Amino acid sequence: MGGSKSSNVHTWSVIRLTILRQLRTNPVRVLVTVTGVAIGVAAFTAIQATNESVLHSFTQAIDLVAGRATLEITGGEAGIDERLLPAVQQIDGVSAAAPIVQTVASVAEQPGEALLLLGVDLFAENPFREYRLAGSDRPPGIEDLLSLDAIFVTTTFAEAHGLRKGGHLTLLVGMRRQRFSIKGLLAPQGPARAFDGNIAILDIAAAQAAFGRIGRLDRIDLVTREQVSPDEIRTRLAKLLPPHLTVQRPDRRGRQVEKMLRAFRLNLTALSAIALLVSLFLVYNAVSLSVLERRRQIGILRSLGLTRGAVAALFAAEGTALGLLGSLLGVGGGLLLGRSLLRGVSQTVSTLYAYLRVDAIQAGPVLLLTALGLGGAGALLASIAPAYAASRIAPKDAMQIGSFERTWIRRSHRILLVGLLLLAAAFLLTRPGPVGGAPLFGYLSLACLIFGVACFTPRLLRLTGTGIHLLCRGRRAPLLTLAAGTLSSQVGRSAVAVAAMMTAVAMLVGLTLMIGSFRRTVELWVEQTIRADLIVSPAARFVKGSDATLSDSFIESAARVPGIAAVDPFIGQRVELMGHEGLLATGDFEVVAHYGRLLFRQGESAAVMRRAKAEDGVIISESLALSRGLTEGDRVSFVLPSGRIELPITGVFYDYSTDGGKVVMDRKLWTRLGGDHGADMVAIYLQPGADEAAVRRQLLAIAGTDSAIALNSNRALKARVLEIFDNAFAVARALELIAIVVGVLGIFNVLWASVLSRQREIGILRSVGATKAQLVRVILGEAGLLGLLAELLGLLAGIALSLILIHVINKQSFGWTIQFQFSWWVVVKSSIIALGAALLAGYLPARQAARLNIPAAVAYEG
Amino acid sequence: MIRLQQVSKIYSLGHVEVPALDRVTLAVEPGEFVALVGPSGCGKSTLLNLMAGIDRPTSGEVWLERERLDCLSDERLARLRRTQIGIVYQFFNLLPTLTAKENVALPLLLDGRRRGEVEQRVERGLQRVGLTRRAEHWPHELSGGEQQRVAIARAIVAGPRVVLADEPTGNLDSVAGGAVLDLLEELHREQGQTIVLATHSPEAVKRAGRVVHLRDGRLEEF
Ligand SMILES: Nc1ncnc2c1ncn2[C@@H]1O[C@H](COP(=O)(O)OP(=O)(O)OP(=O)(O)O)[C@@H](O)[C@H]1O
Ligand SMILES: [Mg+2]
Repeated sequence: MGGSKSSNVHTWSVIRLTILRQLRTNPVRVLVTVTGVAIGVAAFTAIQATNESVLHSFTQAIDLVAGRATLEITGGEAGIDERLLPAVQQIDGVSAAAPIVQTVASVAEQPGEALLLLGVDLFAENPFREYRLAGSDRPPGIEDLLSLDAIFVTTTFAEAHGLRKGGHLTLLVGMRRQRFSIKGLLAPQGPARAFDGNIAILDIAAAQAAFGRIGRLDRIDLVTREQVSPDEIRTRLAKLLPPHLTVQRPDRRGRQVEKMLRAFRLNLTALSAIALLVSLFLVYNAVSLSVLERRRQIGILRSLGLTRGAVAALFAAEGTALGLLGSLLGVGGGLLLGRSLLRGVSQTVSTLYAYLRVDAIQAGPVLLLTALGLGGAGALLASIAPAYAASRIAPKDAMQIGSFERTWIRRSHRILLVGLLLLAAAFLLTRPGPVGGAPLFGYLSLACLIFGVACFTPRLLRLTGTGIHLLCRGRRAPLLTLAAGTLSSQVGRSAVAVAAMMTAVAMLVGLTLMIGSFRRTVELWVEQTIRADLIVSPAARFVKGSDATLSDSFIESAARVPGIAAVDPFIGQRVELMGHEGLLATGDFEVVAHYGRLLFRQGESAAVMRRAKAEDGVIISESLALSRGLTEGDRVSFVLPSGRIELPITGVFYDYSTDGGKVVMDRKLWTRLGGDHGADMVAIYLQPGADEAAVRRQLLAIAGTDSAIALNSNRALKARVLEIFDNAFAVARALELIAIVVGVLGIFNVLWASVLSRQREIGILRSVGATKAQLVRVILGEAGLLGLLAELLGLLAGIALSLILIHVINKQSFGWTIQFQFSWWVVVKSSIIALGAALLAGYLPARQAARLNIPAAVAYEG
Repeated sequence: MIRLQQVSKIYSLGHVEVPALDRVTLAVEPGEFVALVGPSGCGKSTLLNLMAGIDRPTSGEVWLERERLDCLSDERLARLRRTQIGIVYQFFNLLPTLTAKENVALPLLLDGRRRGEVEQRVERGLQRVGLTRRAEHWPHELSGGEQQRVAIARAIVAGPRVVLADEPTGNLDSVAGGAVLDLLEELHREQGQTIVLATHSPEAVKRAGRVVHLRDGRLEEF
């Protein structure tokens, strides 16, 4: 149709006259809005990219290390008896089988640096993995390959640490420092690419000796014949193997990692989504301001024949353009930001979950397009309401000042009602349990809470404005009266900015309270449960994935050291606990009953421990009890090398050391069930008045000269626990800050627009004798009032938010019970930040107001 | 009272220079009622703005009593405007978010006067313009003539030395305009208020004691 073509041309010229003109006439707002969106999108992109990189690093490492293996046999931490290997090789359908032992070792004298040690049978490797020696290296001779101290490191690792072929590398493995000699460098190919080169290969016999795992394997990799279905081979293997071993495809492990990290990742994603939300409020606000300022223009265009739809489309396009531009910048910035977050996140994952090494940010096109799309679509969504309002402007209304505001006031009742409904929904959504382990309803409840409270801003703005106005009537506070008057007469333009800032404050308050409560809870728990005077562990243990242990002989000798009253050897092993991975652990219950203390849901520590020991019962962590619906008296079951075991639950204790759930039994029972010897760490209780320094010296002497054991005092251990805790929340704190910055930009936009639209008013004030300083105070007063309201609502929303985080989201994600703790400090802190930020946002607009040319401002009718 | 000495004002718009006043020398004595007339664009508003201290001359001197306005700081000028100079504009220029009474009180409030004094003066000012009963009304609830009378009350509330009015009847019908002019005339006659009035209306010119003609930024006094 000819009509549609001409209307396209028409639309384009209208766009040129409006949107592009906007860039010229209102560059500040365009800049600020785009920046705000960019920051929000950057936060989101950064978190997603970090998450993806972490996951990618794991799955890539698994893939690279698995090589061409089609199936693998794993035995958890209990391991596999190596005598099973020949039988496995014999099975019909298995064309090759390769034994693996692996551990994570720390690099001596380089705290924080670790690598994955892979012990392989170099002669069985060919069907599985390819290793290529770097440069023109001649292949090492047999005696070199098989010597007990031979190791192959990657070129990447060698370069980073200044190592050469023929040089030496000291690692903390097991209880010892071990010196390896580098027999060759591996070019970045196959397994050598895993964990960015932080991997080393050694012969299996040397590895078994070094890791203290003689006769045991961690894994057997299999290549199977294509003609036989993997399921068929699995059934054949199942008949042969003891029950604690699992046969699976290697990529299954990737999915396990994903599952393990899911709650952690979801949490970060939700927080970054809040930052994104704040920036979308900003778009809403910017488009509203633009509609407001151009209502005359709209009226004229409408009377010249522009349709309602076209007006709406125009403003929707403006918002979307701002959003897309911001998203584009945000995606770029997000990748940079992601790079700086990566270290922190990967360190946290390394201390909490599993050893990990990531250097490069991974962001696939899907992620980038998602971030871009979310920013664009979010901006479109955010501009729909103001665009619709613009399309409702009738030609005659547009000439009347304040018709826009009056609509807002009329609508504020309805908005309030919606707000109340959303709050009710937020409350109801806290009731249902998790969906597939994730607190989806909890996150929905958070969203309802934020939007619900946001709905209160128009009403509250008006009430406060009129309230202050009434209070100041006739008092000598003309400036405050003026600021308040503006507040109540400009609800439409301020409400959304206040909502944005409120959201940021809510996030700040919510997270501060949650983290504070959590920290307080952990502190109390640490205070009450860490009773030992000294904790001995292999130095290699500080990275997750190291399974270094202390030997039985060390433990026995330690118990005899003068001054030591008792020792409690602790072992923890990851096993499958009723469907999910958890920790199976053991300690000496008698020692814990006498010297230590756990916090039980019911019953007194010593009594429960002694009863558990007497009845061959176990104690389980509260998180396990919650997630599996277990309670005192129920039975818990799991699989050990000796078969499936079922034991009664004597007690349920609070525990914040792991998020997967924990089952603990007495060491006697453990040994009877065929559990491992040695200990991951030993808690040592001193006799009263014993000389701690002397005991330390003795312990080091027992361990031997090349030992690598760490001795932590009670205080140091407590500090370490809290340090890990604080690191885990560092990223959340960064996101808090980001949200605040975006919120500030919103307030800036409002004040800037307000100053621009009130030139005449400002001119009048100046002409009746207001000094520049007084004017600056009026604008800052307005800024302060906006900030104050955002703070007030944000504080309330934040308290509710922290309750949802504590009682719904964390509880359902991790199973931790956190005691809610209100702190007045959060009120002080958030007030200072909100008010300070608002005043900062008001500074430039105030300066702008003071610079105004009075005659020009008052000359014509505004 | 007010003396302008060789005052010139040149607006520069980018490269173009627009001369608005050209070496104007003029004295207004205490108790005078001066009408400034001349064709549109001749510089009346510019002249009033200079006298009010909301604009500065390009060259020349502007004196209010013993103060040389063109040399005062912004701060000092603002303080002068609160108490010494009353301004009335064509478009009333009331603050929409303040009531009539609050608008009138504004200069005193900005000056930090005591509450009792403010109440008393505002009361008297509104009485003077005959709008005591409209004290609590918002500007948009008042007619144009009423708004302009509120503006006059605001201009005189602090007892200024001079009232400067820039086409105060320009936006009013003849009845309302007449009332505003009556009011100014009364102020002049009964209180000896010094008034400078820029206007196009012959009706207004009739009430003035002296008429000053401006043409292309120059004075043509008769
Ligand atoms: N801010 C400005 N920038 C540039 N030129 C200006 C400015 N203000 C006034 N002028 C110019 O200065 C001259 C005098 O203007 P002014 O407003 O003083 O005239 P006026 O006598 O008050 O006119 P009217 O009777 O229409 O109000 C005019 O030519 C006008 O265009
Ligand atoms: Mg004029």
